Amino acid sequence: MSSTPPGAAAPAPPPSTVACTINGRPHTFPRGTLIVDAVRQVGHPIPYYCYHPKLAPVGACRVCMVQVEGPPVAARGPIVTTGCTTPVFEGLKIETMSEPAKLARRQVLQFLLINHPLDCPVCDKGGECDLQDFTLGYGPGVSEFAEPKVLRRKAADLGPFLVLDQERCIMCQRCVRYESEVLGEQNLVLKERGDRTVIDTGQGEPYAGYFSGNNTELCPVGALTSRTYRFKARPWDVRPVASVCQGCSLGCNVTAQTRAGRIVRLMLRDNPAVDGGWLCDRGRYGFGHSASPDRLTAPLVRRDGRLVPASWDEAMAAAAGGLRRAGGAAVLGGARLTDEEAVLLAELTRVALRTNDVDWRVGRQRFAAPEAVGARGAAIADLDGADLVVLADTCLVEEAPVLEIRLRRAASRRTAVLDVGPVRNFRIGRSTRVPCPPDGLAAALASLGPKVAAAARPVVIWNGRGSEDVAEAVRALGAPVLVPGEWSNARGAEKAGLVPDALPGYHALDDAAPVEAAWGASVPRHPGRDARAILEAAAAGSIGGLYLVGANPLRTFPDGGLAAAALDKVPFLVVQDLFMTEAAAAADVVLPATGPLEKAGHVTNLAGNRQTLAAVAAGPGGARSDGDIFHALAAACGVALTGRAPEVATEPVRRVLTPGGGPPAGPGGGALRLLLRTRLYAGGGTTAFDPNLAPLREDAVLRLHPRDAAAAGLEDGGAAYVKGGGSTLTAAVRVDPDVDAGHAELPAHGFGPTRLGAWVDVQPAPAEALPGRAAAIAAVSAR
Amino acid sequence: MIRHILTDGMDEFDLTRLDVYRSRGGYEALAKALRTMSPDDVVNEVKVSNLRGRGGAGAGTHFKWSTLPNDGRPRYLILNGDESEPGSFSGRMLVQKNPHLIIEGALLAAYACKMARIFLYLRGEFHEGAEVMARAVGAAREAGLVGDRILGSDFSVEFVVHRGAGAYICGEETAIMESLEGKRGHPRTKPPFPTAAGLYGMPTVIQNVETVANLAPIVANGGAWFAGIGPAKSPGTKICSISGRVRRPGNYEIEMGTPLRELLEEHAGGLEPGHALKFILPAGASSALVLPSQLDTPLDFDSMTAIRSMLGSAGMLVCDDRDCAVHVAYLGARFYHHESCGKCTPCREGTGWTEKVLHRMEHGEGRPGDTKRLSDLCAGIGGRKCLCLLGDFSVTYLESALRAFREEFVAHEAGGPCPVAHAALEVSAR
Ligand SMILES: Cc1cc2nc3c(=O)[nH]c(=O)nc-3n(C[C@H](O)[C@H](O)[C@H](O)COP(=O)(O)O)c2cc1C
Ligand code: SF4
Ligand code: SF4
Ligand code: SF4
Ligand code: FES
Repeated sequence: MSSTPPGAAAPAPPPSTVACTINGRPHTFPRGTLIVDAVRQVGHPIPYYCYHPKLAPVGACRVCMVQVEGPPVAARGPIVTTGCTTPVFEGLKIETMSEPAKLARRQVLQFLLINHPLDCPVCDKGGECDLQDFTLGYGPGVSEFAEPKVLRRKAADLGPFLVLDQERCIMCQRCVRYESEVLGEQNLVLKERGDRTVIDTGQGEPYAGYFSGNNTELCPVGALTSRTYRFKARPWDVRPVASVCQGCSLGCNVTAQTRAGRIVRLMLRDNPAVDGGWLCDRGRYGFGHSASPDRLTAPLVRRDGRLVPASWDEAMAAAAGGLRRAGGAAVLGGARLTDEEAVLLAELTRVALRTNDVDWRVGRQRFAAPEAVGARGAAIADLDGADLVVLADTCLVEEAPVLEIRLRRAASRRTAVLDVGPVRNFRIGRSTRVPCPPDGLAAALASLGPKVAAAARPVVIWNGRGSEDVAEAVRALGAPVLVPGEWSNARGAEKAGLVPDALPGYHALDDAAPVEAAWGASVPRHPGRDARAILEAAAAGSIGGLYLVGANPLRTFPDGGLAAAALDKVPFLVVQDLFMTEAAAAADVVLPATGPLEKAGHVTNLAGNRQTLAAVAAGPGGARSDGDIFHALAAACGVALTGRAPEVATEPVRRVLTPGGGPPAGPGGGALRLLLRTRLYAGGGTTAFDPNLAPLREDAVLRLHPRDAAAAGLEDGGAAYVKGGGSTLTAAVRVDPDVDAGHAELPAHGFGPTRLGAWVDVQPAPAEALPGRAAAIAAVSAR
Repeated sequence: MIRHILTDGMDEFDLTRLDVYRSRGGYEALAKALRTMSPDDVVNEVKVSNLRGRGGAGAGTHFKWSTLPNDGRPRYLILNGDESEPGSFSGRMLVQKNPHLIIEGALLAAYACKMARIFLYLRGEFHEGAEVMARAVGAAREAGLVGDRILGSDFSVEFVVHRGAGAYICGEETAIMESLEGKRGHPRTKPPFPTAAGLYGMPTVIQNVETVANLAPIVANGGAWFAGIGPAKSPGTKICSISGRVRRPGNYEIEMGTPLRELLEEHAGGLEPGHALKFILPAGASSALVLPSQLDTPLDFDSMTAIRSMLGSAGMLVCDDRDCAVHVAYLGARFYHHESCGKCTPCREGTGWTEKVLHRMEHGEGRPGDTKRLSDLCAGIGGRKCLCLLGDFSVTYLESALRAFREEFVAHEAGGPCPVAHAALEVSAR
């Protein structure tokens, strides 16, 4: 506790590197490097279980033993110690292969095996198991244990995705540490003591969080396994392919593994700039749709009122003919395509169908790239160093789940989070709520101006919903913006010009020359109509044909009544999709497409990172990639597409956001303001048809404040009728204090909520009234 | 001349009553410190006193305090009353019969080290102790001795009584902090040491209840007075709990340096007639055995360490010629298997394995090689390879039993009834 006398030279700061020896050879490392990392870096790796580069060291498994000698333990002579809790010191002599170190590791490995079931032949981890590998490398050849083993649960059901073999667990605690350190959750905990300790959920309930699957990769043994992968394959007979998750607009990097052409699992592929090495469960397990028996396998053409299989040539001819009839065609969708396919669709629309009536925005998002509305884009990693994050009515855990993990980590350090909106969006971690009604977002954001101005590294996260006044408020904050998309490649679609008021590369309509040069064809100059105007025109009978590309406005368009009227009235409807959606059921021609796991190309994520998609699986025989379909459809129209993407405009056209076509505003019949919000497991795209995600599907879940629930006589877990706009929906009830009073929240992409109008009434319903999906689809397709 | 510092008057008077405690000079040391001494003066008296921690390791109390960083963060004091060592029951007695001596000492430590809060962590089973303590703290608070502006001074400190859930490991200084924070009682890796980053990440001093009970007498009489009692390097008194095969089991406060023989024969009344001493476990189940030939060892930290055993918390378990070493080893193994927290591999798995082997040996199912197996297990668990000392504790007594009574273990390898005459070892308190 000495203090430096005033005027004396400050002591020199300790050097930033330290020199030590490893197995007799000198090395230098940054100060603070742990021995376990140091020895690996120089090619003398030691085994480890509890240590993990993404988790704080705990020194629990004791298998990372090394021999050390020198300061600060010089007096004691060489000792063995754990490499994961000891940093390198100046002058330290580290021996990884000395007899005491080898013996200590052998002893620990022997201990780890005594209560292990040794059922490698039937264990999913066999072949990629650290317990197998390290035992082979460092363990005893024979076990001397001749006592009865501790018996535990063999296939403990931990919810929809996880199965736990408690006997295989080696108690490294990676899982429970991940839960608390990375997620700030406690879905998995330790129970009991000593060699009776087991991993379990708190009360034996199903695992509740969105990120359970990461545990299966953290687990060094075959204890935590994925239900979807159990007994499916061996590491040596799968084919790994690097690709990108298209479950949301974040685009986490994955390695997909297939066996005999079928996807057996997706694993994380650490990209620090995008996913930080984590996946959400929707992304990890939502591959089941690819091999679903419900996939569309052949083109369908409506004959005598029924959709019947047809050849591709027949379907193309029918589609081309129908779309070019009087009144012209309009195109909706395209935000799930690859970048290349989006350009093809733009070319098809402009050159073959001769229209600017095209819009990917069949939901609530109005723009995708911040630059398109004059704001500055942020990088994902900017969240790490941000001192202030403004969540503009955006719920990351539902909209871009893995980004939420990054924000939680930032918030657990220094980042202040301002959570703006009528619902608490950020539920785990420190934040300040800025409540506002759904149409008060612009004003609420404006009120934060001084706080954002005072911040050194602010980031605004806005999902691009609302209209020009919200965009203006976001622009005015002046901070870099991240825009989680409503669909995986909204940004690619926007950049490709799948909007009525801009051409590919953000060229204005009157700046068409570069586009025309690229395509070698002229493009129409008159502005097109946006999604709302297109649907209105269709409902009014003034559009000849509608082409839905991976889009289902019946679920996603905020005014479901208008969407239904449009699909009902339009003389000719073409739907290109993976499944028989409600829209497809209403179509005249249905074109079966391949999904995001079945085609190659590039995709642009929410921060503008361009990433490579690989065809991981083949897809059903009769389906074609969207790009191939565009080529064929254009050919049927007599046009050969070039697929060339024009250079991006040096001055991207600055677009003004017209109101997004929400349901009618202002006081209506009901007492509660309806909030349509993205929920991870709701939706009618692949989620609705993915058997792996089936247990979690939540198409119709009503969330409301306890006060409103009490007033309406609703109980958590019960059923409710939600009435509005002349329509009634039956929903399961969740009482949730994080929804501000006066609001009723429903999943935006569920079937039915968008027909309710802006204000709804809620009342108790009998449990039997809860809707089945089949009934909903039947109701629409009976046309 | 036997000096009683901690138990003085305890049997004659109801010291749990604040008025009685005060009538015998209680809280005068606190008043003296607050009125006439600076915190540093108190620290200095403790330094001069040479007081060492009574919780087991005998760490210098002043040294521990001196490692507190001076960085303005709040500091905490944890009083360790987990006392789960087999055969140790001196802390329980102090808590139940002399609570104000603990409180006053804790207040002095808190004053000296500028603590923001005191946490008394009591073993879960200490029902009565927790009630006595809660009453005593309440009375002290009412009398202006705990809480804001104590005795009208500028010194304020809160005192929290917390009952654990009954786990030996929660006496370990980092597990106790986890437990107080509401987490599982699992030890943390060190460094950082508690004085650098302890409870809730703040600088924390952990002190056995008996350690702080010495502070009021030290402040009242001066550190030099204390340093003059017993051996210079290990001064003061120690309350020893002695049980097992003795005629008067109980707690005895002795001057440090008193020979073990005197404790055994004079205080505890010696062995039962007709029986001979076999060995003593001097620090509960966590120390090496003391053999009859070592009975003249003075009871102080350094002398006990010199015979490769330890004073520890001085919970003495006495075994005589009726006690089979394998039986005693089995009881210890059962305890450690039950109490291992399970965080680290060698202790979690090793204690279970050890108990299973000893269970067989004890129950007539010994096999050739069992004795060597036990030695190997000790080597695999011990030698500071575990995360906390519990792992080492679990083999120390066993290793020494294997050394001293190897033939008894080997005899059990044959199976069948115990070849050594024995009856159940009883651990009982006064
Ligand atoms: C497994 C284990 C159990 C312990 N149990 C206790 C205990 O019950 N009471 C105690 O005072 N110290 C116990 N200790 C020692 C404490 O870790 C710590 O050293 C002590 O409380 C410090 O106080 P002192 O300096 O006043 O002795 C235990 C240590 C270990 C490793
Ligand atoms: S389940 Fe796996 S990750 Fe969790 S403690 Fe056990 S071995 Fe470690
Ligand atoms: S966060 Fe989005 S991209 Fe990442 S795994 Fe989940 S769904 Fe896929
Ligand atoms: S040595 Fe035993 S008690 Fe200590 S951390 Fe390891 S398992 Fe837990
Ligand atoms: S890896 Fe070091 S103790 Fe587990």
